[in-house]
Amino acid sequence: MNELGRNEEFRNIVDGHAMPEPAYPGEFTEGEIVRYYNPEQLTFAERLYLPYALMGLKITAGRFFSNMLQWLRWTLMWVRGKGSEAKKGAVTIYYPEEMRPDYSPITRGKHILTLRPSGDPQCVACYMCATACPAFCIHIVAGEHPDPMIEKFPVRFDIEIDKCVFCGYCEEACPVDAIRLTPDVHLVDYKRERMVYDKQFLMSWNPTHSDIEHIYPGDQPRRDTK
Amino acid sequence: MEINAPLLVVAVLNLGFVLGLLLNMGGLLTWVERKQAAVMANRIGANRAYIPIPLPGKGGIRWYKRFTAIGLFHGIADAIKMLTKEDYTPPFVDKFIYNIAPWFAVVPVLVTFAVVPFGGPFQPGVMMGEVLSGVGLTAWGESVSQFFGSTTYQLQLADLNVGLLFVFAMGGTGIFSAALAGWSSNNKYSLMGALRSSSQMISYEVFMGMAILGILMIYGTVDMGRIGQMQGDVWFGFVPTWGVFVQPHMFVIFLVALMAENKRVPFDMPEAESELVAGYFTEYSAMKMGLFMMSEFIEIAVIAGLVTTLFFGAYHLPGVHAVTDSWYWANHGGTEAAINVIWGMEVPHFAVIGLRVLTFLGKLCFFCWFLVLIRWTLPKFRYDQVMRLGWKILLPISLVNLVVTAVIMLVIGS
Repeated sequence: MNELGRNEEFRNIVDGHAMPEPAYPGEFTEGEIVRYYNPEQLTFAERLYLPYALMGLKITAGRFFSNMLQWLRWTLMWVRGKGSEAKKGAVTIYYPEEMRPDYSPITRGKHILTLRPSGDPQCVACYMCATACPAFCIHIVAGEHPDPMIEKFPVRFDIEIDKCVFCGYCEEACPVDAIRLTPDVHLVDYKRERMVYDKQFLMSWNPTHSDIEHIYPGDQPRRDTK
Repeated sequence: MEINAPLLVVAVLNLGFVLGLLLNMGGLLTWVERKQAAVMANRIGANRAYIPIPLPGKGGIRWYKRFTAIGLFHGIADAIKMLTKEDYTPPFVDKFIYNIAPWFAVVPVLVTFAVVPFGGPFQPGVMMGEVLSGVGLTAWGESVSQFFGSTTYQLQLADLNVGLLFVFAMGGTGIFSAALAGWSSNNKYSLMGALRSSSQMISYEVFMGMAILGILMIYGTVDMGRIGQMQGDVWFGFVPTWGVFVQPHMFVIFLVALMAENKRVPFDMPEAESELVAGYFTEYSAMKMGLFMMSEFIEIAVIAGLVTTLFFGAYHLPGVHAVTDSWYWANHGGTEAAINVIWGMEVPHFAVIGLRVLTFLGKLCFFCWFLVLIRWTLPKFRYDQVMRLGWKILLPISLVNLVVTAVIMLVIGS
């Protein structure tokens, strides 16, 4: 082999006869047929096929039996009433009965509207998220808030979750951190109408069962009044 | 013409058993294929099809929808789907041949199993008498014993003296299905599949026969029932006289040839999803396609049966002998010494026969499992590789084996 690659040493074979070295790569003697051969790369055992087929069968059969043994143990555990601790004979998740527990806390999934201590949404209906949204899936109707310090609040806040691309731009655009994306990604339904999440639903996230359980930002004053 | 009533009864029961076995194996093997592939690949496999069970609940009936029986119902769901789908016949096909081709796929496969002995010779009169007396129906037992007499029948649908030739004949008929289906479909992919299937099956039938010739010379017969009987002995006290211990290399070749006949991976040239859509049955839909699929799955069971019969002692376990094993007792003290014996214990006749049928089914299931294992392990051959393997490797080995076997037999015989 040389710097021209593996086939170079076969280039000089023309119908089984040696021919002169080419002056430069790619130069052929005129009128000759140059035949290229891929070097024989398989060993004799590989060409027999059978030994390697048996080795493959050994691997797959071993995998089969170890998994079956694990399923047997799994069954015994369920029989003994310890089903929740049982390890399956498979690495796949039996979705949706089982779900992965290890989603990253910063996974972008279902939106939530963060709350004030009073239980109202943090949102000030500034339309920043709706403007930033590339999928145009946020629809806000603003209303006047009774508290003069807050000015506006969303009368309606609808997210068409089936249009959402989960880019997180709304989260970034929000000046008051009122909208966030949670790791809940199992957003499925049989009806398209039910894929529009309204304000009540977005506010109904359960703060006690999430790692963002503190009500944010609590009693702190608004940023522009600091 | 006189009707032999007991023989008719035995034949009908045998027919029921064989048909029930094959059709159920065809359905079960779809499940085995799915589940085994899944387990081999660390997956769970198909387990969503369920049969809803009505349970009493609040406000009427609640349907329990978790009764999936680890995916067993997927075969039923498949069958329902294939039976209820539109049976579309494309306008450009040759209708008659197109419609008749699926039957050429199924019938030879089903018929092949007729010559496979699944329990050996037995005496239904003695057996049923023992069973019925055992459960307290002595009067019935006596009348059944009287009906069958002490005649020996075969647990085999057709004890043909041309047994193995019949197998090859039916295997040859199987080519028709692919050829006719592909040709009548008037589709390039189908035609390619038909051509490949014809050349592949004809090639592999050549040395399927060659591979088996050596062992036939040793047994000296093509009668499958007799071949089955002749594997019931042991050499040196521990080696069973099974074909695989006589010619293990021929077992490998025979299995390869049968797998090529079966047209499944790694020999799925005729179907080759990645190249020919679905090969020769591209234009088929609904249950006509289902018949092709079903014949393939049934053929797995038939292959397992043939391999078991020819190479793995059919229904025999070492040390288990029935009173009806004429070949065995002729070599061991004559018919006067004949008893039903399991590992030295003298037992009733039905125990031996029951054990034998179970043994056969166990071996059959093992080989079905093994064939599915091969299908999900090995990658597909290229077409030229299939032909090279057949004509350049397997055929010479078979021929050399034939000559060597003949010479050895001549030397030992003289």
